Amino acid sequence: MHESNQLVDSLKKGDEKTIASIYNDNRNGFILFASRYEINKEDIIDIYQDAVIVLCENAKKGLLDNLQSNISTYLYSIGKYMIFHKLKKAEKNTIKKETIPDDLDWEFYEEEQENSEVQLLQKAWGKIGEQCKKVLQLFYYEEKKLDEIMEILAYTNKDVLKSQKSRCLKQLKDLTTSKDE
Amino acid sequence: MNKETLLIHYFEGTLTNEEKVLLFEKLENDAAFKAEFEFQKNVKAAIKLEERKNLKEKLIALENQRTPQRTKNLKVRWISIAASFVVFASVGYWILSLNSNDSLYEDYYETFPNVEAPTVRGSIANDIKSEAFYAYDSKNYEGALHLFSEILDKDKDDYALFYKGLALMELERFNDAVTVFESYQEKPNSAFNNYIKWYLALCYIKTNQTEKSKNLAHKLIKSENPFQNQARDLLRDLE
Repeated sequence: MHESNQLVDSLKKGDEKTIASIYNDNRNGFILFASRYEINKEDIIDIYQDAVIVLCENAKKGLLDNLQSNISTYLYSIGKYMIFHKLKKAEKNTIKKETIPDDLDWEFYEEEQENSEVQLLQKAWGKIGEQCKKVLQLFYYEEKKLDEIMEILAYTNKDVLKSQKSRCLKQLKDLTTSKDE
Repeated sequence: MNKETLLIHYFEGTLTNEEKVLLFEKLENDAAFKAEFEFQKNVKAAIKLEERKNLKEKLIALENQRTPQRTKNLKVRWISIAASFVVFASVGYWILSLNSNDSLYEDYYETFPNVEAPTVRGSIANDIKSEAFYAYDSKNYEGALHLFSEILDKDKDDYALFYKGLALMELERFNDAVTVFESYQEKPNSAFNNYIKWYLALCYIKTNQTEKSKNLAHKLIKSENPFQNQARDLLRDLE
C-alpha cells in the first residue's frame, strides 16, 4: 500500500498533477462502471468529477490516512454512492437502497446552496485576507483541530490563534451585512 | 465553559457528553448563541462550497483538455499501418493483419473495474470474495485467477466466471479466456450477458477469430448497452 500512501500525501497537499493523473487514470473505467445504471454520459462525468472532489476533500480531512484499499476502489465506492443519491433524487431508484460507506463522511450541502446567507458568505470569501483564509479553511474545510492548526501555521499561543479566528469570522460577518453589497 | 470554546469543540468534533448537553441547552435558551452557531455552520458550508467550486472548475478544464483518445489512436494506427506497407511491403499480408489485430485490441481493451465488491474497508480480507477482488484491484492477476477459479468451482457465480476471464486476459492467456467466456450461459436481464460478449469479442481479435468477433459486435449493436458504441466502432474497424 506504499504507493497509495504517497498518493494520499500528494492529495493532502492539493498537488494538481496528482489530481489530474488520478482523474485521467480512472475516468474511462468509471464511465464503464456507471453505464450499467440509468444515467446519461454527461451526468456520469459530472458525478465522476464530484467523486474526485470528495476524494480530495477526504484526503485533506485525514480520512484516507489508513486506507486499506487502493485509491481507485475508494473512488468507485464514492461514485457508486453518488449515483444512488442522484437516482434517488430523480426518484428513479428501483435499485436497492445503498447505505453511505462508513468512512465517506460527506455532506452534499444541497439546502445550504439555496440559503442566502451562505451565498453572501461565498461572495465574501473571495474578499478576505490570505491569513484569514488559511485559518478558516483549515478549521472548517479540512476540519483540523486548533492544536493542529497551531502547528501547521506556527502559532506559539492558542489564544492568539483563537482571536485571529474570531477576527476573521467578524470580517466575514461584516462583509455579509454591509449595506453596500 | 465559555461559548466560544463550546463552538470550537463542536466543530472540532471533540464535544464531551456534558458539553453536548450544554450545547443543546444553549441552543434552546440563548438566541445570540444560536445565531452564532448558525452563522458558523453557514461559514463552513460556504467555504466547502467555494472550495468544491474551484476544484470542479479545474476538473472541467481537465475534461475539456482530453483529446478524444480513440481518434488519436486511430490516426497513429493508420500511420503505422501505412508505414508498415512501405517498409514491409514484401513480408506479406499475414504479418500486417496480425499487427493490426494487436493494435485493434489495444485500442479497445480497457481493464474492467471491480464493480462487484468495491469495499473500502478491506482491512483484513475475511472472505474469499473480497480476497479475490483485493488481488484483482492490486493487479495481482495470478492470485485473482486462482481465487476466482475457486469461487467458480464452488458456487458457479457469474461474477467469478467474468472476473476469471478478465484475469486471464490481463495475463494474456487469451485462448484460456475464450474457453472461460464461452462456457458462460446467458441469463435473462443479467448485465454479464453484454459484458461477456464484449470481452469475448476482444479475445477473438487476439486469437485471430475475426468472424466470431464480428458476430458478437453485431449482437451488441442491436440493443442498448454500455458497449453499443464501441461495438459499432469495432465492427467498422474490422470490416
